[in-house]
Amino acid sequence: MDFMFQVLEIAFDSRHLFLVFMGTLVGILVGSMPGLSVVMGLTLLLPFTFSTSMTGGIFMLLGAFCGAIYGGSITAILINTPGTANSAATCLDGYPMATKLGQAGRALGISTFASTFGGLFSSLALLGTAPLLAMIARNFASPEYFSLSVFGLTIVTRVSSKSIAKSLVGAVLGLFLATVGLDMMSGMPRFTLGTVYLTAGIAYIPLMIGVYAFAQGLTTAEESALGIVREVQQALDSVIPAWSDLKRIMSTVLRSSFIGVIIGAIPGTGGDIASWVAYNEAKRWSKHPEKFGTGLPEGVAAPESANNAISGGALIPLLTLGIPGDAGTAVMLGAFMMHGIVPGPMLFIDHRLDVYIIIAGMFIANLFMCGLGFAGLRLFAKIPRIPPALLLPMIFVFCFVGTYALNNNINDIHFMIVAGIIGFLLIKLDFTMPPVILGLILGRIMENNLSRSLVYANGDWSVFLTRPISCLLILISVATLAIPSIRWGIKAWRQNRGAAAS
Amino acid sequence: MFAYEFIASLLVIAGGAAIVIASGRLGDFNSYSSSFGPGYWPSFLGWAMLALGVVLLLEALVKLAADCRRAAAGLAVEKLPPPIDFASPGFYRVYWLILILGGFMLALRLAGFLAGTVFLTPACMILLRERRPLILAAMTAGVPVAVYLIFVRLIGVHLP
Repeated sequence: MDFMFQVLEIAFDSRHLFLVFMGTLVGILVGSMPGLSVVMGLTLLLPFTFSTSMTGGIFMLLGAFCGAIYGGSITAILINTPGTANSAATCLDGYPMATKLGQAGRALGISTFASTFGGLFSSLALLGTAPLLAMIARNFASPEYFSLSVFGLTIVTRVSSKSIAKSLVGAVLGLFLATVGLDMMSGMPRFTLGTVYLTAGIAYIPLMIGVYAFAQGLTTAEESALGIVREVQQALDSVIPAWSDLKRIMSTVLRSSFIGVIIGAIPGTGGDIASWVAYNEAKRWSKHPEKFGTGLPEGVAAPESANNAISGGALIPLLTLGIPGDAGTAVMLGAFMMHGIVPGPMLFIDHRLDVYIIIAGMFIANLFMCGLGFAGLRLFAKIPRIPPALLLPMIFVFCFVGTYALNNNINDIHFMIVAGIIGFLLIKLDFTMPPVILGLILGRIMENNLSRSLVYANGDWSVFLTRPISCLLILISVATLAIPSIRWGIKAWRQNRGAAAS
Repeated sequence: MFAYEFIASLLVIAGGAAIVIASGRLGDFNSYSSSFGPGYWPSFLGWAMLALGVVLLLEALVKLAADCRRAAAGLAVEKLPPPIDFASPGFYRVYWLILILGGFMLALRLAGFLAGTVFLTPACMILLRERRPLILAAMTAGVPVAVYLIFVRLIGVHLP
């Protein structure tokens, strides 16, 4: 009981509440601007965490994380342009509700309720499962960690691009970038091009600012030349959801939140996948699936509760295993590290109080998101009107200051610009960035655990198949990559057979 | 489209080969710790990239062959726009933007961050067709002041 009071006392400290409030507000603003992503919001807020306590900094990032996911739904509903990829599925029913049915306020109210429910549900899931998983993870050895990293990478490569080969190239590129710098075992510099800057390895935060924020700035500039103009939204009706709506969507929200937590907890996945899966499940369970896409409240509630439910789910592998599930939690991992905390199973023993304060922060962030959402919806609805000419210089200035503030090093800015330009071109060629980032983050973990496993097994690679958890993860990874190819082969064979017969 | 896919796959193959060659010089075995050496893992990744480059090349060739067969049979071939059009108005704007960013870096080196921001902000806005003098002036003055207040005064970042 004393422990709980201690947690609540720190979590409800006025400075911490102010920081989580500011983080949530910034998150919603970033999320509601089309083109600015959740990761971008988090990376741009990262420098602010230097001047706060660990709890304050993490609270601010948690607020931004939850707020940005929710903020994406505002533009999805009002202008049919998801503020972030997480809200793409919300467009399907949210936009028709706002335009054809003239119920923009109702759609936004349902989205705010569903997002809050999803976020709180995932916080509960985090509270209930993380300590248990951490206990199990204490028995994990190097082979399990290696297999888990392989599993995360295969999942992200499978879901992030139309071409698995291109995603795999991205993942291998990320893994290779992680080898740059001093080798942990021999101390020998690798691929540093004779520079001192690269000896410490590739800093992933400048890389992330480059490929997410800077590259997005270039895309915005390119699109502005093509004259892509976004429609201005209509006036809002009441934003408080009616009791009948709440009763109607409750089962959908509950099911979707569960889906969101499960998908969020799988390394390499994210809110976009969760929202599409939840939308499809809502449609499958509905008595009127044919009405989906015409402005159904369930079509808004399902993706919104699922994408917000990934916030707690994504923290499960980060806190228990030290493995960030996506780019957003990777930024949080960076913030933990900067404050001297290494996430992993031992975190629940060495920093037990901090872990529960973070979980309390998740609850607070979601409650602030709800309050800000309902109170400020009319204001947030005006944000998509900000023209790119005003937005672009601010994005670049924040990219530069944010990158420089990490290490007070101008070379980080040079590196960020180069990474941003390369990222911009790669995105154009359908090479998506999540596999590169996850590869970079997991690269060192994979190499170290592979090395340790092989030393332990005298160079015998079968060590990954003789341990049950490791074997299971490897088998799922292989299946994840092989099944689409097998399906494609069968389809091609059937087509050829059909063509020959005709 | 094929040309882009073809060039991309060749670049991946070349990248993979370069990693394999560079890793070979690092050594595969570490005799001190009886573990694999600094070149083992990168070399493995290089070979993986090389193999994936070949897969990408095959994918592009298979697609091209299928298109040729469809064309020969008199069927419609799906024509996708090129993923990158280096001569499009959008890309010209990106070139200008990169030049402006180069100017910002120069100003950063010579006169510091805030002076660089005074150059970057209006330059970006003018590039994006913002012509209202009042807005330009307000942003040119407002962004550096905001950066100074938030980052230097509030957070304590030492800007160059």
